[in-house]
Amino acid sequence: MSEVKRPELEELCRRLVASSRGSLTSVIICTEEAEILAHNPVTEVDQDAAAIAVGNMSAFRYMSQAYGFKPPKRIDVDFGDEKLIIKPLGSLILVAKTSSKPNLGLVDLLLEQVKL
Amino acid sequence: MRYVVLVTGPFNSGKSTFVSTLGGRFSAEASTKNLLKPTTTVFMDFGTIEHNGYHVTLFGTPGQPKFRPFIMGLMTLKLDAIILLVDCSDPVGLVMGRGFYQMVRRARPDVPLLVAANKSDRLTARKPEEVRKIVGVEEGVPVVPCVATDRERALEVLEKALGLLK
Repeated sequence: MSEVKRPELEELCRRLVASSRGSLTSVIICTEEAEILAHNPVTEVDQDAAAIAVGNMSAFRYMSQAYGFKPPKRIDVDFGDEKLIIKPLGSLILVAKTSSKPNLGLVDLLLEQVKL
Repeated sequence: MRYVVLVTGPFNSGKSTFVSTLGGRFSAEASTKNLLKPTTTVFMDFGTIEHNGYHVTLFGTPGQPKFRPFIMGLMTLKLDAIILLVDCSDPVGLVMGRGFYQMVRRARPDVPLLVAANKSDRLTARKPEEVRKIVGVEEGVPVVPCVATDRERALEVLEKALGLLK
């Protein structure tokens, strides 16, 4: 199924980066096993960011089950100026890296609109 | 062909070394006051390896029970095999391995499991059959000797784990 969707996912990554007006420097979509299905910029493959997203998402999903919370809708990691945003997309995971001092309102809006 | 393998086991069993020797990309560690080793994994180890036409993704869990959400979270991934490392040269490590073994069997009875008796090159190392008895490994689950610092021997263990899938 993921094979069929790859061009759509590539387009989604491209659109997010392009629409963010420089606030998003890269977007990755990967499986829950850290296999990268799509990424933008196309020249950058950040396997480590995908693995970190998978590790965090699995831990928080476990925690939400253990404490009876709803599954996480988004995980934001604040590195000071830059941020790493992890968002589940069905069975896939979206990982977005922001530039320093991003327009967070725009980033939130763009990510809220993402649906597969 | 792509495979996802989880490397787990108690504290100081050699999980990070195993992942790093095979193709570690990063290890999220913190310094520890424990005299056994200067750092300990607090989040995960991650590595990838291309071998015999296979692409293997390796996830390593922390070993300390206080990092349970990360251990259990990584257990929920879509896994092809689990390698449980125990320090077969340390009686305490083997007893801790027993608890880990039971936890893994309970959490993922659906995933092929291999027990690797790590540090088998040490003088105090127990033989795989002794490890099986102390850790309480069932008959259907293989117990193999392992030296995580030696790439060839670590590869042998990985191949045996992937062999369980055939």
